[in-house]
Amino acid sequence: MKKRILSLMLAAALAVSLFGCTDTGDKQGDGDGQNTNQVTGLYPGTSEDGAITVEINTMTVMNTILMTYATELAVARHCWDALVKLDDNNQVIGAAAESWESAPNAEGVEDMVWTFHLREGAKWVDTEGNVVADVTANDFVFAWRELLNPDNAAEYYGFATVFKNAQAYYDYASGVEGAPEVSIEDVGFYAQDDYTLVVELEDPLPYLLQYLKFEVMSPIYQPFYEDVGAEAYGTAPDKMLYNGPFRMTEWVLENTITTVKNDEWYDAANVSLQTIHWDKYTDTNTKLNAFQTGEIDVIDITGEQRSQFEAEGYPVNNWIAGYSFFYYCNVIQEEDLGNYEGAKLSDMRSLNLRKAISYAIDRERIISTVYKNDNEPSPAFSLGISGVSAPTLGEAVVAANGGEPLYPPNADATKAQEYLALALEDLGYTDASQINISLLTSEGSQNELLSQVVQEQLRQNLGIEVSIDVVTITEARARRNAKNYDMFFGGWGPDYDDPMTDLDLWTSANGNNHTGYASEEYDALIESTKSESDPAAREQLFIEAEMMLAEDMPIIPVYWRHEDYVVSEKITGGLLRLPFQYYNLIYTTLAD
Amino acid sequence: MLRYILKRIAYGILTLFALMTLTFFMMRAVPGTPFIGDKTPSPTTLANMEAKYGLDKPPIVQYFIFVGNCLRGDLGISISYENRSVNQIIADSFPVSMELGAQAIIFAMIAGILLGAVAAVKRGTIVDSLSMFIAIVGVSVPSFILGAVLQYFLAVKLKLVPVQGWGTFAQTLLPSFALGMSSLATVSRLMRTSMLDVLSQDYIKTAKAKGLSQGKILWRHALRNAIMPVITIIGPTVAAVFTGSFVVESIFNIPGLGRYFVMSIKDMDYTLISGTTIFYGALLILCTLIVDLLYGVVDPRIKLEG
Repeated sequence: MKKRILSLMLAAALAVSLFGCTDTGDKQGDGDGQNTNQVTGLYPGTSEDGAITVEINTMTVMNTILMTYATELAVARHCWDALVKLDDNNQVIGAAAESWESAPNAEGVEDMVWTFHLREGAKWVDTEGNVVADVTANDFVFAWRELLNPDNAAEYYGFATVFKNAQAYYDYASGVEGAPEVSIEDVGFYAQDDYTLVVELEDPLPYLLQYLKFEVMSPIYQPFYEDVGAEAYGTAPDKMLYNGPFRMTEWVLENTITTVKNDEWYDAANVSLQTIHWDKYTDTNTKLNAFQTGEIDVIDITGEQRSQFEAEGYPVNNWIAGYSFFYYCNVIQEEDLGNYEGAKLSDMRSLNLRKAISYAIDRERIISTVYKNDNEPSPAFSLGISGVSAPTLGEAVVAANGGEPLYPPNADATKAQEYLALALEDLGYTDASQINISLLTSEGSQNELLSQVVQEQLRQNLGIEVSIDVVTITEARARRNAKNYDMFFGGWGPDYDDPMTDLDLWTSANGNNHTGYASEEYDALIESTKSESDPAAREQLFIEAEMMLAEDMPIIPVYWRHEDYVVSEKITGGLLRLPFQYYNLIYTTLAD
Repeated sequence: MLRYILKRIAYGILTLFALMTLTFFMMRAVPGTPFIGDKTPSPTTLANMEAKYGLDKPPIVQYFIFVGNCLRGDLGISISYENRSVNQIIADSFPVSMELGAQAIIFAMIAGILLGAVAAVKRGTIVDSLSMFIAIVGVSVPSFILGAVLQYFLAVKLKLVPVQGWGTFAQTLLPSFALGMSSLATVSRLMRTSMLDVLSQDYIKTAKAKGLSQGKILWRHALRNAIMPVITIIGPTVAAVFTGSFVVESIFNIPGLGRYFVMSIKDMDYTLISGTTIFYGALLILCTLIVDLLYGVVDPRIKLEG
């Protein structure tokens, strides 16, 4: 009898673990970023016919050129079609453009001039679904010019600087001192006719289509934009026009957005979902309660909430956006300190100390104590969504390193101590107690817990006492940017599917490299990827860059983030969450 | 009377001006800028952003522009909600907060006065103890715990009302209750003390001696006099309810002004911080003024003189 109970329990545990996690193969977009529901009857979902309600966070602005948050881009993907988009396998397919071809430029450099043929008959509709105009190539020209208009101060204007003369125009128009005069007419994109858009690149860009899929590159219908005014455009559903699968009908700021199926969209026949409510929740308990009472169909959950669902045998889904989390280290050397105003000379300038700390922290225990989810101890800095020799760049890096991660998942106190001894010599200290490091921590219970766990691990494995400095997020960022810190924990997410989106971060001129790391070799390595046209050889260069990072260690990678979410049983399929696709709900299907 | 009102309005404007000035310079003294997030914009973009919001000018120039705009009733353009005016944000969200706050105050006042009065009349009985127990719970349990507990039992377990949201009357019940509870507690305790005091006055004995019924004594003589101190705290109560609505609004997903008042500080959204602060400041000054004027109506012995 006892044996039978045991085997039943084992079977139950197995079932839980099977439903509990979809494997990390999701990141390749094998179409499995969706829930596979067995019917439990536990969470039937919302009651409105043909509609779903999903959780979304920040929604501050809906003028596509001004968007910065992944959550805003997620809504944008449902309301507007850019030239191209990502399909359910994260491959680029046509959206507003049906086809495209590339040609050499006047100097004979391949793939520098691209011609896009737009889908004819595509319509602009208003909030009520009335057709206003046709979508033409001019709408892209206008939107991209607005993106480059300094008056709009668009943060992601950089996506439009891949076009010839665009950066020069932006600098000139922004009044940068000494910038030569450039006219907007000279920037490399124009409408050849209503349905033909031609772009010319500034430099070769193997992943141009990855840029063009970005939601800030969506078109805008000029007469309407000018009618409502640049300030008002995108602040209310009736102050925008739509060319995507859905149109927005309601927006209560910081609360809810409602989008309704756009019958004019080219593939509307295959869209069965009628309405999506995008609801914002600030309280995680409220969210869980609302899921239980059928007021919402999709919610993101915490590690604790995940175990509750698993205990009930309810499937928990998991997806990754490609975020890497790491400690920035202030590596500025004494002789360079004068180049940085307000910067601090930190003990972290010792490479051996950074290595000691990297060996002393236990990445797996950090995850199991602080996050309690499927976050992976990072074997390399960049997850690298798509690889050439392996499914991801991350896997290619590990393979190149003889199957070993560049950063160990578990603490190695012996190695840590060895490096510590060398670090003391570097710094001219006689005793580990002389090391003075503070963990710059932004307010928030999870951040503070992380700092405490790391503090304890460094105490145990390294015998050093680090302090914790808790400040507001804005102050933390200001100190990070001023390089007035020792170690600061932060994350980085990719904007497009190429290792460049992560790895150019640590070049010396990058405005987001807050470590003071300035390596000519690293800069040259990243620069060399731009002229390498063979994908395999190019990947090899990125692998070398990862290796160099691990050797120079301006950052101490900790984990790659995985995010858990649950889906009500109302949704039977088609719901996607993939890198660059925070949500793709277009082809979601519902239970009858 | 008119002179008194004019004088009070003049003081109010002075206070508001001081509030404006302090807010302006204090928020700029906080380290950090509104434009630097996880990702840092390029120096040119940063300059364009500062120009867009007028932050490229010297602080004293910014201050005079700010004061000039405020005098015209223009609170500026929010930085975190790009292109959206602070006036619009307040116009959209304050009616929600006001409805929630008004319901909470009405509930707190009516229930608090009744509870306090009954406790006084039935002093020493189980009713008295029970009402004071409610008062203690109301004062000592913070609204975020009360809200979460109510939500769990009444919405999730008993399914009597929705968990969250704003739009139907049913959705307003839990948040109004959670928000009003601590004011209810204050009102009921104050009412009980004041009622006991009044009940021991000579004129109540006179009324009894005249042979008036218990009900008439309580309604006509005791309640009206005992209510005076309660009216004095309406001002502070309104202040507490409106500025304290943030927690309740976030627990129940209510699109009110409370979240902007609190979150704008975290986002370093200068225009939204100053806009909401000035708005709340003006509102509270107005409330206090109205309450002061009400004294004279309720108790003719109080003369309002300039």
